[in-house]
This record gives sequence, structure tokens and C-alpha cells, in this order.
Amino acid sequence: MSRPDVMTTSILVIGSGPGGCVSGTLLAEAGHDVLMVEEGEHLSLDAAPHFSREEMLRKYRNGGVSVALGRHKLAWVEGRCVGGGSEVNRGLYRRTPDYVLESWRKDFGVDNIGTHSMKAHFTACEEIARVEYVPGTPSEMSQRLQRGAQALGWQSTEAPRLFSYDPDGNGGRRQSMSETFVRRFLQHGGRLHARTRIDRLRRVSGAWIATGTTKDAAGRSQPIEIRSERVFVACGAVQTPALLRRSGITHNVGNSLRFHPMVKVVAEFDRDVNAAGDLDPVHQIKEFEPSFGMGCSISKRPMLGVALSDRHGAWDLVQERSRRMGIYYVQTTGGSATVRNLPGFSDPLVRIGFTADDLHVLGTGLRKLCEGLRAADAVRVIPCVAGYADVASKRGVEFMPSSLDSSDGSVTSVHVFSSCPMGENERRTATNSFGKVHGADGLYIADASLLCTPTVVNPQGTVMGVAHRNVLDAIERRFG
Amino acid sequence: MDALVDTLAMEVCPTASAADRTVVCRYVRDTVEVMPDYLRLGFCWLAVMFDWWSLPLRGGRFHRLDQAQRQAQVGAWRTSRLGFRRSMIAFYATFTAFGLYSQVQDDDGIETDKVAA
Repeated sequence: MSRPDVMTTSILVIGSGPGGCVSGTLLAEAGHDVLMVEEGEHLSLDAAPHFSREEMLRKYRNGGVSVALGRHKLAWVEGRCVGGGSEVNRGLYRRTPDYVLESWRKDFGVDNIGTHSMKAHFTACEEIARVEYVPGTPSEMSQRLQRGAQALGWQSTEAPRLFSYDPDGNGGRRQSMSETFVRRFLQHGGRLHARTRIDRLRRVSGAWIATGTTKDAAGRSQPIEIRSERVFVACGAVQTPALLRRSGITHNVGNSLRFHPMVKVVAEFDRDVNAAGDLDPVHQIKEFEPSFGMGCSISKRPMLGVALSDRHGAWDLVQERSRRMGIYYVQTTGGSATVRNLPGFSDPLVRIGFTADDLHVLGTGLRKLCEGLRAADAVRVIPCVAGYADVASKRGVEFMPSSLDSSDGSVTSVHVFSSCPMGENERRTATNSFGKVHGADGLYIADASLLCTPTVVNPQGTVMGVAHRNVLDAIERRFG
Repeated sequence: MDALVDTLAMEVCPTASAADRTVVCRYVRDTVEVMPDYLRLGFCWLAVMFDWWSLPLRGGRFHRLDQAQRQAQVGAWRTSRLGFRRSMIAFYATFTAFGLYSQVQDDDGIETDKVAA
């Protein structure tokens, strides 16, 4: 094997998702010498059509194939490119609910966290990341969900997005880390190395040595060694604990991975709700939070095709009626997973378990979602769960099972967190209240791993806000 | 694996062209190549097992069977009592469907205007 490329930096940020980007940018703005490395490629937002095959292969980890195993299964997706998940998600944004922050303070001993203390951090991130509401009327598919909620007296809301809308509300441009924070990071002298994977960290003579590989544009690998005084690990809630565990750091690391488990349905209406060129839907039903929430999914024909793939005649159905169909979801906070490395393999194994109560909440949420869509005048609702019948009447909802069987792979997630929780309660946490790893000098975590529990709402705002809070604290304390 | 994806593509859309099915096969192969390494190993073993499974039952390996025999084997694995068989077919069916619908959408350029009465 060839000798490694050796580099030095004052601060190394591993991972360039929302947590890594916010941390790296603030550190660079404060005048520090910062190197940010990213395992995936540095691609523009337009490098592949959104939600396409090309995007999955180029910007998603493992081509979009990530499965938590166990008696029950859960499939999830993560970004793997400069900007991380922000490059591939819809950018729906919500601030962390007060009751979530309160539970972190109470149950995990997180100091100085609450709606008031987080407000400035949220505001600062929202300005840079361009968080906006649709200036006009949201899409028909989105409004249908709202109408269903209103008909039943349920509380619903319109979520803003990381999106720069045209003033007339008819178009605009999606925003992401590569469009916002990464540019700012580079403008302030930050160095960015894409296609660079860190496999291990070790502490030598008061410095951190990160070892791994870097690839050139042709895909040729070269070993790399980076020496730095401080390291911010922001590889995401699965890869961060995997890296730390490979490096011998295991205290409360990778034992408590959580998701927002989600089940989808296809609702068919008697008129068009899903026209080409519509803006992404933004309405969500809050009525049952924190038990479960509901919202709209991307409903292009490939997604409809997958959602209906076990239905006879799905091809003709999608070809003929896709404009009258929308995909909707219910998501909960149940299930808990572990992250472990397997000898001889580079990808970590995730094992998940659901309690009977978790499955009951999913089953209840699915029934409520069908009820809401029927109230929105859906002529039928098709649960994307093997063995479930279409719901075309009120009685159809009553016949749905009260508990979900998640062994068939119908449960998915796009949100992962909580694998290395923060707080002063060392029996439950991997880091202190501001992301500094217990017992490790100069080592910080700066991604969704830190979030003590599921956020109930879209977590990107929380990841950015917490990273903003933590890195300012580290700068203020001079990393002491 | 190509034979399995081709069979599933024909199941989804019997009128899909050979060229479209080839593109879908390539997409699914690319996906398998980048899936988690421990899963990839398992899927490679399953693909070998799936190909040879038909030899004693139908007198030939899966990729040498005609379309009807292939569909019968896919159907048997899809409804098998063994979870790993169902999971394998579900995985390939999902990515085949995604690839095929994407291919047609790409060919059309925009969503269809046709809505059934």
C-alpha cells in the first residue's frame, strides 16, 4: 500500500451535512483553520434530477439501500455527498417543539436548552439557509390534507421549506447546504475535501490523527492521514457512532439510535391533485403529535409505482390516474436501534426493535390518516402495507388492524438521530450538553446523533440550531 | 440477477421494450453494487441460490427458463413461508418498479395528461 497523504489542520470537521456545515462555517468565520472532509462527492444541486435514479446512485448512501434488521425491519435513506441529507430531502423545516427540548433537559440533563435560549440559533440558521413559506397557494395535493383535517376539526399547519420561492409562488429554487452554508464556509477560508472517508481516530501526543482514504475523480484510492488539534464528527446518526466505535469510543455510543418510522398510503381523488410542475406539498397534521404526525410525500409516477408495486394492474393505474393520486404518510417516534461494526465489513449493522405499543401507535396512526383522507374526499385510500385492503368507505377504516406488522418492510424513515445523546447525565449520554465527547479532549459530535430523542417534527432545523448553539459555546469557551 | 429483474419488469409492464428493460437491469445492478457490503454478500448468495433452485424442479437454471416458468418461480418465492425469499423478491421488485417508471417518465419528459374516465 502507498504511503498516506499527510495533512494538518487546526480543526477537522468530518461530514458536511447540516450539522457539519453549520459547525464548519461558524468555525471558519471565527478565523480558525478548518478542514471539512466528506465521503461523497461535491455535486451541484442540479447534478441529478430530484428523486431520480441518478440522484439515488450519486447522492444517497448505499444507493438508497439502508435497512435496519431484526424481527421487524425498517428501510431508511441518508444523503452521502457534500451537503448531506439537505441535498436530497425536501427541506421541510420546523423548529424543535418546546416539549421536546424540555424532555431533553429533564431526562438527559441538557443544560441551557429551551425555546427561548434556542431562538437566536434558529433565527441565524434560517436566515442563511433561506427558510420560506409558499407565498401563494400550496399545491392541491397539499390543500387536500388540510381540508381533511379541517373537516374533522384536527389541527394542521403549513411547514416552511429551505426554498427560495419566486414572489408569485409559482416556482423558485430549492435550497440546501451546498447552496448556502458550504459557499459561506469556502468564502471564509474553509477547506473542503470531498471523496474522503475517515475510518479511525486516535489520540497521539495531544493531537487527533484521523486515518482513512481519499479518492481521485477516477475513483483511485489513496490512504490519508490528517493531524488536527480538534475534531468535530458530523457523519450522521449511523456513521458517527460507527466511526467512534471503530476508534474505541463506545460509552453510550450507538446504543440508542432512533427514527421517525413512517407508513404511507396512496389516496385517489375524483379530480386532479397532482399536476406536473406543482410545488412540493407542505401541509402537515399536528393534532396527534407527539404520538404521530401526518403529511404529504413526493408523488411522482416512480414513487406511485413503488407505492403500488404489489397491486395487480398497478402500471395501468399509475399511467392513467397518477394526476388524481397523492402519497401521504403517518410517522411516529417508536422503535429503538443499535449501531455496530461487523468484522471484515465497512458498513455498520443496524438492528431495530419495536414494542407492541410502538406497532399499535403506527396502526392507530394509519387508521387516522385514512380517516383524514376520506374526509378530504378521497374516493379510496390504498395503504402501502402488504395484505391491507383499500379503504373506500368509513367502514373500511373500522376494519383496519389496530396494530401494524412491520416485518414485511412497509415501515420506512427519512429521519435518523439520537445514537450519541448529549447531556450531563453520563449514564445516558455520550457527550456533555454541548456535544463534547465525555472523557475525550478536543473531540466533539455535531450532527443528529446528539439529539436526545426524536424531534417529532422534521429534524433538520433542530440539527442546524443545536450545531449552531454548540459550536458558539465551544468558541466562547476556547474549546476548554 | 438480470434475468430476475427482466422477469419482474415484464410483470410490471408487459409492453416494456427490451431497451428499457436493459436500462432497468443496469440500474438495479448498480444499486446492488453500492448497497451495504454485508447485505451485498447475502444478496449474492441468494441470487446464486435463486438461479439454481429451479434446476431440480424445472430442469434448468432460472436464467435459462422461459418467461412463464420464470414467473412461476418468482411467484413461489414471493409467497414463500421463508421471509428471506419474500424479502429478496420485494427488494428487486421495488427497485425494478422504480427504475421502470423512471425510465418511462424520462422517455415521456412530462407526466401523462391521460386520465381515465
